[in-house]
Amino acid sequence: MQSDPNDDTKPVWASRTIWASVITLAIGLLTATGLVDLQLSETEIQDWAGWIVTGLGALFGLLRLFTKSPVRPGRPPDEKAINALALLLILGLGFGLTACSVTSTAETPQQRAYALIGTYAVLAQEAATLIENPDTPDEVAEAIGLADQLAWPAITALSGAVHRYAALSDELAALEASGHTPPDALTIALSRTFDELSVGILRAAPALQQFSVALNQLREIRS
Amino acid sequence: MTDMSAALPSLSEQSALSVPSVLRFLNLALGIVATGVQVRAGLDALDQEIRRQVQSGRDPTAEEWQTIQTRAEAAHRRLQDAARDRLARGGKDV
Repeated sequence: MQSDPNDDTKPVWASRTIWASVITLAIGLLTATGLVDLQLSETEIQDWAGWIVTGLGALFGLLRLFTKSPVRPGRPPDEKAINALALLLILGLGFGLTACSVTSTAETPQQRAYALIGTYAVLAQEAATLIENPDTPDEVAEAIGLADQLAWPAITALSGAVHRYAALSDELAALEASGHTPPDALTIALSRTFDELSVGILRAAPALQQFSVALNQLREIRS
Repeated sequence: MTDMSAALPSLSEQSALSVPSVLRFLNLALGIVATGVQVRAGLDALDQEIRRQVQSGRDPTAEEWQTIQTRAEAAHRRLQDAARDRLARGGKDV
């Protein structure tokens, strides 16, 4: 059969771009998981990947001198497999986040609340970047959006509790600084908002963890 | 002398793998890993900030609260807008 000169398909192993991406991905994964820290910028990693691919290309060229048949890779991943893998990677990211929670550094309830809201801000910001990537499957984008909707009420409730507690704390501090005895009502209100803040922290922490759990459940529903 | 042409596959012998589909997946995977790196860097920065608060024995200032809450709200809005755009482009009800 005559080959079609316009055929733009080629084996995956022959694509330099794919090899460079795989190497960049591997280095990125090792760095992200903290297994190695090469102290390289993203551009430097890509440069290194380019050099490695060139080296591998030369090696494969030499190896082909001794082979008779071409390498036959398997079928490419279909849409479903890509979606499943994407969800798996995002889930991994979620669990990784849970593992490196910054709340353990905090000592006071306000610091803990700050750590939780800050963690949410970092997570949501980067999740938005993922959704904006046109290669992210619609199902994954939808799952992230829904998971965020589940976590957001706990974050807003915590923000509200922080505001109320800080306002009352400031009021109490100002009275004490001016030599006045704070009224009982203020002390009671402060104690109540402190409880509210503690409950807010207790609810926000699992809400962030549920971000990844929700994704898992959605994946199970769809499969 | 070795016949080199025998070792080289013809186009018809090569499997019709879709390079764009694999590249698309790799691009997505790279995006996710890059996101992981960004998240880690963001959390490290936050951790340092809280460590400084702990070391100086103080709670977050009003300015710090304002900044972190604004960041959280902006991130939430951006995420939801992006999700809504994707749903709208996919022809689903928003």
